[in-house]
Amino acid sequence: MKMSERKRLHPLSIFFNVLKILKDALWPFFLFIFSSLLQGNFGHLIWLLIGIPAAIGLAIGWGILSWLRYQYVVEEGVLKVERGVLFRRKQYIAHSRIQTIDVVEGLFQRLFGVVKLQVQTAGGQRPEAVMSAVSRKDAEQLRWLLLGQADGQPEEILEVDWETVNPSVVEVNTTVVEATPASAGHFYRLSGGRLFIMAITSGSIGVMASFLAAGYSQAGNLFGDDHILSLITEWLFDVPIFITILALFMFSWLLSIAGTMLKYYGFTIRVSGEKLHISRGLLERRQVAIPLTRIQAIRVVESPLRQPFGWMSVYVESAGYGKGKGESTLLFPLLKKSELGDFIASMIPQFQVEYILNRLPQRSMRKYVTLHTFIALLISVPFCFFDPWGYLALLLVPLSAAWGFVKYKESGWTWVESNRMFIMRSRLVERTIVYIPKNRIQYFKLGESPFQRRSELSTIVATVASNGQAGSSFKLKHIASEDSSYLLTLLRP
Amino acid sequence: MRNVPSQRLDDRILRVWSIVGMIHSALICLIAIGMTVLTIIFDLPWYLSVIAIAFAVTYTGFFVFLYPKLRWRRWRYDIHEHEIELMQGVIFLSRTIIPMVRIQHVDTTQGPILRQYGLASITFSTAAGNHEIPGLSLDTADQARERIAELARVSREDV
Repeated sequence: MKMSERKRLHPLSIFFNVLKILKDALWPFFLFIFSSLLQGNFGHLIWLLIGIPAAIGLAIGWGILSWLRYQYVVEEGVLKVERGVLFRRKQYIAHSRIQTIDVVEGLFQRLFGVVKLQVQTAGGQRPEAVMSAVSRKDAEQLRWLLLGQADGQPEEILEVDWETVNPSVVEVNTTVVEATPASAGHFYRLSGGRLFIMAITSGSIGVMASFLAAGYSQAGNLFGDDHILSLITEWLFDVPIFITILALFMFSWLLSIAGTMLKYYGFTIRVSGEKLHISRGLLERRQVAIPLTRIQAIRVVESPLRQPFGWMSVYVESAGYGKGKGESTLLFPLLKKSELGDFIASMIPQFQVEYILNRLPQRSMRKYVTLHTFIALLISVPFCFFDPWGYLALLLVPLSAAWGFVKYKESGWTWVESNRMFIMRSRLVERTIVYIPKNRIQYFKLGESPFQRRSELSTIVATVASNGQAGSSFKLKHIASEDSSYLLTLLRP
Repeated sequence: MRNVPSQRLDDRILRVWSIVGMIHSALICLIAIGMTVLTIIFDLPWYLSVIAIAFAVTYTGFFVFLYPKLRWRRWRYDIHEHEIELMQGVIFLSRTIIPMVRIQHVDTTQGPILRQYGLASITFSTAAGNHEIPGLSLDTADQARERIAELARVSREDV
């Protein structure tokens, strides 16, 4: 498989070019319309009759030109991309620098049987090169030429795997949940039932609900019954304002559930050729590959909504990879506690460890509880001046103190000598256990505030390389100073 | 925290930090003066200008005299064969260990004020951010840079 002649993208990319140009041109148009309306100069709007077709025509012309100019070729393991209409750009990316080539199938791409390729290099925040439409055959060839040696097999196998999944049924207490665990070997797939659970328990709901509650309690004051907004909603929908807010909230919640389900539909992870291959999405099918050797740390996260039911999600910190935090780094969205061991053993065996966490000393409890009480007081006391019900905000204080206590109770750390692995558990909102192999630590920091020094406590921070310049830091507060000093000597290379 | 690192920064950095302190103190003082002028022009309560001036004076005193001393007294470092250790912080004390293997490149840099005093800073970067040893004499800095570069190269070959 040689590819020495220059190639163009699939013509569908013209369509994407045009779309992008039109999208960028939208704001000026809005501005024009808006200003014309403001000036009451409706006559100006006639110009739109000429302007819009002209813009579309120009966009199409430009789109075709960009498509003609965009050429790529692989020569001696170097991806050479030439593009640009006015400003011409030549991009050379050596295959040794390429971390991953993501395959994305958007809705339009799927209709035309093409894919979008995103070439990622180490240290890059954004994809180095984006090919908006490449035929499947060309995409495979490209991946094979640039990554092939490491990847082992062409991608068709993925397709077969998806078809042969055989969901089995596992009974969990009172609910029946579909799952396809380790039986399929080095292969996990998120079942429909779990997808749904994942969507309804996904993070933002709790936060949104509390904001809404707080907002509503104040809305009564701000928008009295005769306030203009109340009048408008009552006139429009024939319901009081709080029902409208509630309905809006329900609607946005449903929307977020649908969004999550679309995004993570058919989440599949399998290991092959020293890489983890993840694919997900309904309308836009996204495939990513993470080299096992690039994995810096693993996070197991239990959010408050999932923890009571024993659900957890697994994240990975990986060097030189990923765009948004917590999105592309999701290894598996929803696992039962009992399945975690098998999952790690089959997917990321280097993180298979047995351990018992060391708890924090008794004296650090005071730190956690005091801080939480203090913050809650700061927030809730001003409310007491508002109206009689403002005193209810004081309820926050014991709740927050209890939260601090839970944080103290759940925090812990350990060092596993046999695996040379450092493990930390802490909670902000979600309970997180992080597994960091010693040789992945970029730097280790021990900090002491004056308050901590008095009680011989300190804060430890372990930082690993991850997407972006700063890496990812994992922090554990109020660990006994003798323990942190011990860790400091231990983590010396 | 026992066995703290042994090396200190060059004490000429005290002067440099004082000068840097003067520069941003000057800004704060200008703002304080501006506020005083405004209170006179618009006949605002007198204590506003008193607060502003008191703040500016304290700020200047702290950042020109006290803070550089405290900072220098705390700052220590060590360049070992396998790791670099830093200790710093005036109120919040921190100790950082950076394994040699993780160091990607080392630079010495000199700003205009540092150059005036024959000093240089060493900056070394890891895949997760940069670290700095701020004020060493030019010779020490050059030696340290060579040493770190050499050690980092050796330990990389080991792995």
